[in-house]
Amino acid sequence: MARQGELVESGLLAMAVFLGTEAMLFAGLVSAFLVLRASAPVWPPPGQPRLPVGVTGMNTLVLLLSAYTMQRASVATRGEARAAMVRWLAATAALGTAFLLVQGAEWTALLGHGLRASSGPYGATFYAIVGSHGLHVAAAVVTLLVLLARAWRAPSAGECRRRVEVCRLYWLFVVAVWPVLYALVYLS
Amino acid sequence: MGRCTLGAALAATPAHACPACFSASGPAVLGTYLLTGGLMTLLPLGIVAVLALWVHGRARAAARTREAHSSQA
Repeated sequence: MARQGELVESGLLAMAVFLGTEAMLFAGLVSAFLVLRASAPVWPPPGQPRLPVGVTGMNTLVLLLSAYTMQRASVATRGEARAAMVRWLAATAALGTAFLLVQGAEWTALLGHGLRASSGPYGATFYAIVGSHGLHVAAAVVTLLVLLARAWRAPSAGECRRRVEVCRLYWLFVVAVWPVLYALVYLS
Repeated sequence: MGRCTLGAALAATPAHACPACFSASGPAVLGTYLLTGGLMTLLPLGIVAVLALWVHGRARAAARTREAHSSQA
């Protein structure tokens, strides 16, 4: 995987360092949420709409499934199976897009019920945390689509291996963060 | 010099910047401030430690591979 003389592939190392900063961003958001929640006399505040726990739970399963398909794409690059790699990358992008569409529909419904970022700490923290994660998923889907276009034209799966591995690391991070955020924002 | 520093530290009025000391409205909020303070302090250290262990593991694996190649030659 790494070039000769490299301990760790430079792209992977750069992504790992970047994900460290991303972990700090989410830790900051979660910390703010916990403090605001602990400071509130009642949570969720009265008069605010309840979050759709069931639909988002199903959506969480969709995102978790996308981690599996991404993993399969990575395995396909190692086995030099270009068609399988393209298929699994496309499946991952489709699942990521489905997750975003359901999130978008959920936001639209919540806005319709009067939950806005300006409504108070409840709305502000909800949109900040879930929105930040959604932006990360959107960035990951765009990156996947670019990767998919390259993989489609590539003569072999091995040629895309480095890019797929870097993308896989980012995707797994985005997937791994979501259940934590879901449990905190929706279930607690 | 040391005594002056100690004197200055002891005589200084508290800076009202620490939320755990000055903004906590009850034990629950104080506990949350301490928890999140611990999280934000330990997480970067954990991230650096994991990265260092990962690179170290790769270095050891590379060394083992080199050894195997040299013993074969």
